[in-house]
Amino acid sequence: MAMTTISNSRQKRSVEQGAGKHGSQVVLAIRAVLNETQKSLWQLWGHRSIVLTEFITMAAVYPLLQLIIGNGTIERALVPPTLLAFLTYPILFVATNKLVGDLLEEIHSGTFEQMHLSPFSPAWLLVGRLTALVLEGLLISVVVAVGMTAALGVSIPLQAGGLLPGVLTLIDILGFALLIGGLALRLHQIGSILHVFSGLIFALNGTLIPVGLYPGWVQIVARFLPTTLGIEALRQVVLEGQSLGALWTDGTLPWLVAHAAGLSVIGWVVFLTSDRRAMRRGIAR
Amino acid sequence: MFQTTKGDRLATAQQPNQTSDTRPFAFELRELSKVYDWGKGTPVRAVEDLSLSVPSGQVVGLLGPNGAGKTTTIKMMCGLVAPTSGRAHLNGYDVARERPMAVRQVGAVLEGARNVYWSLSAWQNLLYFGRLKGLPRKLIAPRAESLLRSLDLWERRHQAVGGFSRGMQQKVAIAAALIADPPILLLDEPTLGLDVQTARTVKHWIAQLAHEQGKTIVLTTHQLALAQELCDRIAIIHQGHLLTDLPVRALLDRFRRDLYEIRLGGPLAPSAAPWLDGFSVTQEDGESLIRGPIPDQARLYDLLDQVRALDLPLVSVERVEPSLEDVFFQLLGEV
Repeated sequence: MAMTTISNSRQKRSVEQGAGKHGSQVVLAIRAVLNETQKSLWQLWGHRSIVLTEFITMAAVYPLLQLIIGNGTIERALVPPTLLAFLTYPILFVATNKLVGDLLEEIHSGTFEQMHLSPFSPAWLLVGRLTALVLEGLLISVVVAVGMTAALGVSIPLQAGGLLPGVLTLIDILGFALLIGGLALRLHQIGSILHVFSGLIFALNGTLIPVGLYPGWVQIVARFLPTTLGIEALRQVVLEGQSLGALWTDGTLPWLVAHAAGLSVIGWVVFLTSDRRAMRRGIAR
Repeated sequence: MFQTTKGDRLATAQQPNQTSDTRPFAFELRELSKVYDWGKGTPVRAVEDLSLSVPSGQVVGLLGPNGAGKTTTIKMMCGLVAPTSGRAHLNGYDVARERPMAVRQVGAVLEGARNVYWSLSAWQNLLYFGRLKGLPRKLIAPRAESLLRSLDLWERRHQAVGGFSRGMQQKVAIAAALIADPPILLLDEPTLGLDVQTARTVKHWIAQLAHEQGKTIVLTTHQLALAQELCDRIAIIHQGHLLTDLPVRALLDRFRRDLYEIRLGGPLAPSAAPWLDGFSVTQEDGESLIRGPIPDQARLYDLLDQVRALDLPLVSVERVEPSLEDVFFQLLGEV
């Protein structure tokens, strides 16, 4: 087992100095995030049969729900608002459930510890991983959206104004995923907690029926959950044709910005403190 | 973006041969202690006041029984467990205060863990772990190729690691730890669960890394013969305390005078000779071999008198070179 090529001093020197020579810390950090994204995409490709099953399941869930709610028929008037809400669900589901599953798997397999042997903060690496998961969720959402609108003969107009609430909804989901990821490092019961939250979000964010049809106190609870405010903003812009200015004036957009920013900060802090706690106590379980 | 950045000198990574003048130790542990407090029951003192300094280019065996604190020590060394008190330095970089530089100095294969992604191929794992250390692909690719070829994995580089044998998976884990060419390598039970041939391959590789590439290697293992063969230096830990830290030769010399083998020409049941407490008795081809420490001549003659009373022929009495295993058990026995 000869190792002559490895000990080539020129190559060795360049490897040792590589990090210092190639770009600033920001570039290195971006590269690390992209590395994490690429790894997650490789893993998804490796598990492509499971991903395909997720696509099929998600695509089947929406019409089934609408059939149940419509007592055997699909109420077309309800499709655009509920479908728009449902499209956030694959992203939320993939970003949280798969993230927690991946983290627990990595803790047990020791790769989470290897991740900590990097000069980069684990929170940034997690963002890279979440990016891949969000891409997967987005892809499922697009497929469901195209499939459902074509199959049910309804349309959801593409509005440029919907981009901002859409992005804020994604940030909201990322913040929530970071929070859940942080809790996964602390709590053995994270699976149950995640199931409760997923169920609540799915029931109350407008996927089943628009939030405005719930009793007042339920609406208040619903708006504290991730995605609800984003879905409301999206509906107003995309389906009702309201401008972003109007959304800002009526308070929808400021609340959405505050919710997305607040949840992101909380998620970031919880993840970092949980990670430091894990380092004090030992990462491996 | 980067972790704890005080004193971070990411852009000025120094080479080990340059640092050897100003940074004489590959690693230095100063009064490291770790108390695990999980909030339930009594806190566990895993490591207490452990100090250990090792120059570059040595293979150090960190030995001890289960629960001695070996893995905690290794994890504190590379920053995976925060010490309760004390400091760890890798190539002069403080693991707590200069973490980004400190972790660049080290690669690790940890015990009881996969260490690499089984759903990824060997090639993807090496690319990923290289970038995780901050290296660009153009530096990683040739090194990954070199590592995979040297480990006879090149032909299977695009296959998922999960489909590999245990030995091949361990090779990939070691290659991943080496992808950024760190000067220090931490190997926690690197041959655990490997078949004889793969264990031998890994052993040869470790020797090459240390003696041809000048890497500092910290090795934990329960295979004391392996440690004796590979290590320049042995540190024995027991209940979180460092019992000894000596070059292998010096450690064996310290116990050289004490160990004897008495060969008898017939079977001897240890139960028939309660005065053999502390000795090992083995049977070989109808003969009995008594082996153990005899501190002085008086004790030797005393023992031979007891043997004569058994009426068994005395074949030989020999002072023997102690093995690391003898030293290990004697030291633990003294504790």
